[in-house]
Parts: sequence; structure tokens; C-alpha cells
Amino acid sequence: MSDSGSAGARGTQLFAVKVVSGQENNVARLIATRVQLRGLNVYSVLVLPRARGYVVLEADGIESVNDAISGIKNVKSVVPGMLRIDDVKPMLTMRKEEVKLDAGDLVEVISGPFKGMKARVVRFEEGKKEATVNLVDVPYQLQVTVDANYLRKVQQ
Amino acid sequence: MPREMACRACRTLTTERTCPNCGSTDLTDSWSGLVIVLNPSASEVARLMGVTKAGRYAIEVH
Repeated sequence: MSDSGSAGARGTQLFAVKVVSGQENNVARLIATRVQLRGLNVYSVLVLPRARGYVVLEADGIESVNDAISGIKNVKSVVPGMLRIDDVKPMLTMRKEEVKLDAGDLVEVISGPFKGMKARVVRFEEGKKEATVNLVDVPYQLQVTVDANYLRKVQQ
Repeated sequence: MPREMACRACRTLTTERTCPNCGSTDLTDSWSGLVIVLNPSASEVARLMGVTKAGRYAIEVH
């Protein structure tokens, strides 16, 4: 956060707004609706992961931000100063990393009917991006083939 | 309101079974962070995300 701040390449500025924790998505939706109805110069509304209690507005200036948030339920205040675009850039440009698994890796299933279960990789077909895994949370041996995108490697 | 799903290809959020942006059916309910792009031509955030259409997008898709 900087007092002088730095505008993005297009002259946009980022402002953090303090909101009631847990209400970030609702507040963002309400702000977006108001911006569209009133034609305010707010270009985007962000709810950053792992930043509970804050919503970030990209706008042409503080006046537009104040117009966008005034009177909206669960909004507390605008945080003084501005965020730099470099502060949020790593999150926005983050690309999904290629899944690379090896036989014997311990993984967690993150989607599908076995979501939340731990498993050990038996075979990984890189071309198909599919892995055959043994579920370890069940009392009997159950081997299933799942999309590698549904698996997350667990640190051992 | 049904839980929104994120498209793994373009990060668009949707309650449909296919992505309204790119047509992909590879959707996931495991996502975090939210960006509502209102004016993509003026938004630096939209440019960084590679987004050209207004709409709701996930920041992280797992």
C-alpha cells in the first residue's frame, strides 16, 4: 500500500475497502450492480483470496469509489492510500501449473465423488492427464482412474 | 442460489453446465477469489487476466 500510489498503465487506481468478514462476495456483487446502474467509473471489483474483510475496487479515483460504496450494507470504510497494481499482479496472472505425478505419490482428491479422500498414485498417464490411484482412506483396496486435475499432491 | 462453478479454461464463473464464455464443460466448484469485470476496455486488471468481456471470473481455479 502506498500513499502516493501508482496508477496502472491505463490510469486506473486500486482502492481497498474494508467490509464485514464473510460478506466480501455479497458486497462485491452489490457494488457491481450499483456501478452499472449509475454508470460510475469503477472498472472492476476484486475479492482477493486470503484477504478476508476486504474488497478491492479498480476505479479512476476515490470519488467514484465513495459513490460506489456509500450506504451499501456491510461496508465499513475505504482504507487510506492505494494499492499498487503490482500488489495484485501475481495473483491475477497466475496460471494453473501443469500436473506432474509419479507412482507412489500421496495425493488428495479435490473434486468428484471421492473428494476429500487421500490416495496413492499407482500409474500416471501424462498424455491423457489421468492417474490411477489407490484410495487409502477406505478399509479395502479400491483402485480408481481419475482426471489428474482432480488431484493435488500432498507434501510428505 | 446454486453454487457457481469456475471454468478451468477461462476462469469464467457460471451456474450453467457449460461455460457461457468458451463453451468448455470442464468446470469445477473448487475455486477462490472473485473478479467482477465491469469495463474490460478500461480495466488494467482485465488486461492482466487476459479478459476481454465483462463478467464474473475466479482468481484461482484448483
